[in-house]
Amino acid sequence: MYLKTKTIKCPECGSPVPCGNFSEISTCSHCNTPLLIKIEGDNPEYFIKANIDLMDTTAILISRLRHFLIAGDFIKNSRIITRSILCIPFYYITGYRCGEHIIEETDRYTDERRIDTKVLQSSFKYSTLASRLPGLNKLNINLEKVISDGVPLIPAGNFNHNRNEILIRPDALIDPESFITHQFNTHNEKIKSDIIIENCVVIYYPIIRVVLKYRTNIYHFSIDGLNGDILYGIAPESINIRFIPMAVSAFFTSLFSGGIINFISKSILSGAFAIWIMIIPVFISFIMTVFFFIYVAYIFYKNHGEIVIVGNRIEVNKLNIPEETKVERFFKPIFNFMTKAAKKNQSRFR
Amino acid sequence: MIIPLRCKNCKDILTGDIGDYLFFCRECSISYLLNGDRLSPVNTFESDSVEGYTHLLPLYLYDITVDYTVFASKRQEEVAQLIGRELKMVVRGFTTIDPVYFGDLELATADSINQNKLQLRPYTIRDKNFRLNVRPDVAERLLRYNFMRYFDRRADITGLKYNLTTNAMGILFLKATLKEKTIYLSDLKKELPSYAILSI
Repeated sequence: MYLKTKTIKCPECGSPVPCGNFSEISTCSHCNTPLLIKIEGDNPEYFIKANIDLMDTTAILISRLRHFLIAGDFIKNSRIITRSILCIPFYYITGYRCGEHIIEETDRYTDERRIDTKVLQSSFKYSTLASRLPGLNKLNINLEKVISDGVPLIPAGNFNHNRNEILIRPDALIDPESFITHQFNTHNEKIKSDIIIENCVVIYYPIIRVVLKYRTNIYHFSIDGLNGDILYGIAPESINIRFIPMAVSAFFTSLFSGGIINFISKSILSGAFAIWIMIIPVFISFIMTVFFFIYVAYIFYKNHGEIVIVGNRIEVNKLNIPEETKVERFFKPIFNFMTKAAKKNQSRFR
Repeated sequence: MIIPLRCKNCKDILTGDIGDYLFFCRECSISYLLNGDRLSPVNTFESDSVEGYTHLLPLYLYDITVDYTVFASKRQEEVAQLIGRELKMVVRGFTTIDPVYFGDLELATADSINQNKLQLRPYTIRDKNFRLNVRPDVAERLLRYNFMRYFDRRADITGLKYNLTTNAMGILFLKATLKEKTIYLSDLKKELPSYAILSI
């Protein structure tokens, strides 16, 4: 529960009544009078409880990031430094835009001017970030949808403060009323509108902030506390393992493209003999390039693992390949030969 | 701001929630409206229909007097005579229904009351089965626009000048039944889709 830091006097008996930062109904301990305590300028505050447990963040990160890096390397070399649930404040504002829209029309045939007044009354629902903490503006949260989905809103007075759950208070400089006025500013003199704010609620949305160290760099991730989506974060990429096949394939691609240019130029400039001399290396380089592309794809395929979490351990299972296709069976001896050759010459590459 | 929630008549504890603007005494059946920083007694009404209901939808009910000063057209004069100088207007008192559906609801209710299709009688609140969470000052501001829309439905309001005075204000409870896919408003014989309900 939150701390009651202030005291006020009961208007019935004058005895002190503790109160906190939120509007509430409290009871005087001396005369048992229920007291409605309204904090001046205070909007009702609610928080949304996170569905995702802090311990689940490892699983979320690994499952989302496995497409970006070699899974085994990530598990070996990464370490979570901190993770905490930040409850980010949003103003959820509902209200009405009322007014008159004066429409002037001129009759084409009689040139008679007519004025028609339309009474405007439309409702609006807006949400805006109520804090200016750095990095928060990058979070894309559709609060209107969350509320219309019926996510339970718990009064902020019931928030359980602890080391891992932090409630960020709204910034006093952000005024929801001026935000709404700015939204509806049309600069049209014929529209006289009146903005009536019906309800302005502060909703604390759970964001799990994970700080991760992978190899020598530190990465920050913001995870949606409701559905586990990664809202913000740069995926670490391990290029060490991919470098060799990529470099080799790039070399042969350039050779192949160079061969084509050479072939075309020779065919234009010289006779048939020169064409046949050129066609053999070009064909060989073409075949080798195709094989190297398939080889690179194979290496990616081999290293792509499914990650399984068993208790506290994280295991990497190789993809379960159901059956070898005819193409795979045909290419398998060539791949094996290439893999062996690559292993043999690994020391040379280093 | 600190307000003791005790009945001014019998000193019993008032029933109500934080975020609500209507409190009531179970002992002497007086309802209180929280307007600004004070609780003032308010009359509550319901329709005299005998149909059953599961939910009560609170609306602000205003008795207004309209003094028409300038008419811009003959039609406006006719409409002013038709609706009269003294009439009742209704403004939403709850936000649990999507505002998109409110416009028609308010005008239909006001129409039914002014045409005596809906007879009202005093209502004694027994249970807390409603939520009046629109501030009285917001309702007061919406009243003017509701009257404009009420008039504009019958004749163009361009050039009409009038003064609007509020004589009395009360709370009207519309009866509603929540079914699987619809909200049935028995007083108005209307149905709303269930997705019109909001959590705030």
